[in-house]
Amino acid sequence: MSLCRKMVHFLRRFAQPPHFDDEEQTRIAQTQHLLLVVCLTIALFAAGANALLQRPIPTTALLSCSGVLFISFLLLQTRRVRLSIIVLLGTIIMLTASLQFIGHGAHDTVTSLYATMIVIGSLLLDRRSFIGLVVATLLVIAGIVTAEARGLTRSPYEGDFGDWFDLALILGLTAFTSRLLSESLERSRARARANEQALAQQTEALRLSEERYRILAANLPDSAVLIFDHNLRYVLADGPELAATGYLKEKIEGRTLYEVVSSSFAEQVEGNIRAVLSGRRFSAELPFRDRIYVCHYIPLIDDCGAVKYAMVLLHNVTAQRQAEANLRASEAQLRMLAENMGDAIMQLDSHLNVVYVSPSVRRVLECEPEDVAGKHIAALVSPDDAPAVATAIEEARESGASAIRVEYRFRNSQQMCIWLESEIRLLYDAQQRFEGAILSTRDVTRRKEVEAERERLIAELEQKNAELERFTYTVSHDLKSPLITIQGFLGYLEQDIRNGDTDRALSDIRRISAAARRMEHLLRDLLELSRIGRVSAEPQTVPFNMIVQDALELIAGRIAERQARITVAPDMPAVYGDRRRLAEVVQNLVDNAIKFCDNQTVPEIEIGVHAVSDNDVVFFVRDNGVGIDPRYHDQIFGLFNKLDPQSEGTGVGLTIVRRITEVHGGRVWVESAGRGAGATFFFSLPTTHTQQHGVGHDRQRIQSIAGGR
Amino acid sequence: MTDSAFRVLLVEDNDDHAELIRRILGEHQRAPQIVHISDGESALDYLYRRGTWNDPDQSPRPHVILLDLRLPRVDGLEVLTSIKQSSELRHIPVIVLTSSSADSDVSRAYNAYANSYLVKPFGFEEFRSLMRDVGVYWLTHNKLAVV
Repeated sequence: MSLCRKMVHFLRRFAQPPHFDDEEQTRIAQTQHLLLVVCLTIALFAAGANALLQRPIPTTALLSCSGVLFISFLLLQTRRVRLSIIVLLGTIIMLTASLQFIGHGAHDTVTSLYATMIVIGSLLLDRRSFIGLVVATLLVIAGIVTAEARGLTRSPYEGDFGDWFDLALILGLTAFTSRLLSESLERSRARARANEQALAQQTEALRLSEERYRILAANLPDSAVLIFDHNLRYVLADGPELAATGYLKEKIEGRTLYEVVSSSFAEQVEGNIRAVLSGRRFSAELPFRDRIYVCHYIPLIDDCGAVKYAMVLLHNVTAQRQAEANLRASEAQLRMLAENMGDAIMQLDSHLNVVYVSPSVRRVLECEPEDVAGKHIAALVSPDDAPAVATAIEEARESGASAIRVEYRFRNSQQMCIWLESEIRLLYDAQQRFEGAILSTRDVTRRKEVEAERERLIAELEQKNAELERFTYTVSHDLKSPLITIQGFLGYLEQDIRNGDTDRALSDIRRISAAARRMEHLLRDLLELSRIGRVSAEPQTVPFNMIVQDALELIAGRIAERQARITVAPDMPAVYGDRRRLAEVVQNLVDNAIKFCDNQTVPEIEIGVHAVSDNDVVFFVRDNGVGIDPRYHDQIFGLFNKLDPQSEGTGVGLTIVRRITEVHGGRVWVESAGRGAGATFFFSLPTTHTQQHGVGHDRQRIQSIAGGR
Repeated sequence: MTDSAFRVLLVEDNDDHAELIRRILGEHQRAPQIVHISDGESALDYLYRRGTWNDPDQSPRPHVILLDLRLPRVDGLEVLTSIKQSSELRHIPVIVLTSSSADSDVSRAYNAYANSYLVKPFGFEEFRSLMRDVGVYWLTHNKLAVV
């Protein structure tokens, strides 16, 4: 079964002509195949008929002829086409020659076979082989004619070369004609093939070009490509933007503009497309729905130079336009910020020259931006601070710091010195090279003032604190003394009573009561001193003569007792302050003057004005008393300080004088050449109500409790 | 005034305190001779034999000085410093006797080479006891330099 099938398969393959890549070769092989099949059939048929009809052609010759045909067939099937043809034609020519030889020579009917062979050869052979075939044929015929003329054939004719010439002429003509026909056929076939190839190429090119547009369209982000023909028909429509607007290319391509978009929109764009179709090339912006497109209109030209299509390349620029608008808005916002900021903003280049300055410089530096722009930073700093600022920036640059803060003075256009604080951001490029800086500058004059005031207050507080410490120490010491005395003499008093020593008992009791009294005076004076800081009455402007009068009335008794002579300068200026307290100053000074006057001398006291300035007056109280050694001029104002321990009083009088004058913003001092030279006390007092040290600080609120040692 | 008498220079501005000290030290078996001076300036005058004290007979060297710190004119610390800086006087023991118990005063006194620092106590018995001890120690036990 399988063997049978293999046989069938083999036969079928055998019956098929071989196929070649070359079309011409294949055609020749097919023709040859057909020819061989026909020849084999005829040969086998002829062999059969010959045997039946007893024809003179021997059957063996026909059979051997069939064998040769079969060999040719095999050659063909083994793809040796030319050899197969030559074998076939050669065999038939040899067969024809042998038939002529045994038949009627050159006049035999089989002679026409030569013509058939030549026609076949012209169809199947190349030119050289064909010429070889024709020449071989003519030689064979010449051989036949020669043999005939010599009587070697069985031909009844006597051959001569006239017959050969006729035959050669006919065969030559046949060969020429058939070859001419064959070659012309070949040429026309080649032309047809070339045409076909060109057409195929053209089709491919067209396909490729459309493909290119499509690839282009599909890969251009936010874009679409539309190609219109002269009928405004979409030839091609593609691209991401097409899909984004809801169009499908399958539904657009092949339809016209008016069939796809609204007629109003179509009218709007028709003019542009027509312009492209007439050969113009341009770009235009086109709003469509909520999008903005930039359209490039490009005419597509064919080989003949005529506009074939109009191409519209759409690019969606909505995002760019939005970004541009946002950028403009943020730039405007930044500008507005820079212009309205409290700080003045400056940009410096790497040489520290000002390249940008915000208009707020008018407010901060009180100068015009033009005055600052282009200047070196050093020009904006007062000469006193310029080296420090330059050093700070230089150090920051060297250490690669990103920001520093500097404070410096600046003289503005009104020549006013103001304090500025600048935050300097230093900028570096990728190689860490200094590129410039951004300065944010503000006026800190007020803060500087407050800082200075704070420093002053701290110093003052520290001083007051030290004073307070001394005061506490002094008070505890001086209050302790009388208590020790009382306790001590109480002990002895007990002894006295036990011993019946009445005299010492009386003396001890006197000491005890004196100590108790002294204690009382100390407490009274301390209380008095502590009251000074507190306001007893509204300060007022009082003529100083009235104050002196008040004071003298208070100590009128003492003055009368010592018959002191007191001279008061007339028309002294008015002072501003607490009338009662100021009277205490005069009272204490006059009291002291009388107290420290020799008992044998009549106290002579002069009160007058030493100096007058804009805000205050310096008064004096001069006496002819015992005088004070210059070494003790400061000591005498200290709390409970007494130069003479035997003198009456607690030693608080001058402390009170100092406190009152200080609370009023003045000061007190003494001048004396020494013992027996008398003394002059000076004190200054304000004439008008003035703020002490500015910045809303009311000096009276800081209570100086006591001073001195 | 005999050489055998033990001399105490009492520098004290408070007369009452001076009287108390005088009485208590007077109770000692070997009652000292007490020179009372009530201010720092006069104390220095006495020691350096100046002014009213320029006669050496009137101002013999004390064996011990009892010194208050808070004094008129020249305060006790200055007097102490001056004594301890003087080659003639520095061998004399200086006993600071004051009502102040402030640490700053104590350290200042010792830094100025005070030989002792005593705080005047409240109370008769306490005061007497302290002064008796001073007498026992400085008048009896303590050995002085011979100049």
